[in-house]
Amino acid sequence: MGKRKKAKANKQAAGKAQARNAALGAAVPDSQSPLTDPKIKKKDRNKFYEDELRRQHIELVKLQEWVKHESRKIVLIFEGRDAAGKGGVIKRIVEPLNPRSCRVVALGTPSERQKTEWYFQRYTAQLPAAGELVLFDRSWYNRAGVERVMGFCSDAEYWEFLRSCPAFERMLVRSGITIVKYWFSVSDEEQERRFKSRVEDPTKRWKLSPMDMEARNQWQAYSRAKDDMLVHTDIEQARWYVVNSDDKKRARLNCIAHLLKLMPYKDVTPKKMKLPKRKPELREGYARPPLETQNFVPEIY
Amino acid sequence: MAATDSAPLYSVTIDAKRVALRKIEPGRAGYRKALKEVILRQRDALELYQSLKAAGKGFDGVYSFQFLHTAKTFAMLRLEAMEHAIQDNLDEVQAYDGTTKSSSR
Repeated sequence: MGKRKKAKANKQAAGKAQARNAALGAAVPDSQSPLTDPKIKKKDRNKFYEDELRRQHIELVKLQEWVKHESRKIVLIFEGRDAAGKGGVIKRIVEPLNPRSCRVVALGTPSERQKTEWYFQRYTAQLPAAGELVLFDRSWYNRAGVERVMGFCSDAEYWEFLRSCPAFERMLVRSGITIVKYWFSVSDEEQERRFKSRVEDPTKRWKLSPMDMEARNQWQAYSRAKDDMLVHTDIEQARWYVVNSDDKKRARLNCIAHLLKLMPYKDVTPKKMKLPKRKPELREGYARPPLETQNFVPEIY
Repeated sequence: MAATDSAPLYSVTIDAKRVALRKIEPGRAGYRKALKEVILRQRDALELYQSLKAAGKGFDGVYSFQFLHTAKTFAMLRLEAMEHAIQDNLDEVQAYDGTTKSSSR
């Protein structure tokens, strides 16, 4: 293929991706985002973020009601390097939702028994039933990422994963599951800054493991593994979407906004109820037992 | 990193029916020709694949790669695309209920 033809074809491919992105909301350049505008005071930027998040939370509640109403089954996959901000976005999505029909799945290392099972087995047990939203904080894609880079799977297992993963996801989609996959893209410098903050902050130290330290030294290997993973597993039935996550707050808002735009939900939240007057006989004949008989939590605040 | 003429290369031959992957040792027939057009980086292989896909004129041809991983990626991507096309066709036929003329789009 000639250089000119190749350039034309690349332009066509880029055009298609742009059209897809445009359909999901036009991008705002850094300079125009109120969250990064240096002319806006930090206090006002924070207020903008909080207001937007509140607005998105209301929409997420509508989305969840619609998922229940329509008996949909939704899988959201969050992948990315350590400290890319996956957990933060998941936390903001789950925050306003009813935990009865929304779950976060963050599986640890597989047991000896699980290691002998079909690779997807322990993940299939976590898939949603009708009306449920399941958020995977890392997922079956571990095999194409950390396992590949750190040598926890063989070459044959890795290639088998790349081959079977799209077929597996197609099968899930045919069974009525919607799959949306997000890759959180963080720069080398920003990841390093976040690692340092995790070391310093005792409330964040649990997020760091010796494995993360080792992964830090494998930046390029991870980059290659990510490129391979995205190209092999970005299928029409289950697309990958990349979230720029160097700015945590923007990443959260952008990801939630994208998700809301992607889902064809309608407002089916129950109408505002009118609280009827309580019937007086409900309280009749009841006397609370002596307080000394119960163990109270000390009121120190 | 530049390709040297002392390391083996990997060629991927694609035609309408199948994809073949083979190793070419230095000095063997086809080595020099393969070396001239060898693809070194994974990124270049992915870009070539995406551009051929976008052009929509097929993938038929012989491509050479410095590394087995890159050659395998390119070959598998082509095969996966063929598999997806069959799966799409299967979806259409499976979903066909006789209300329209044909199951094809």
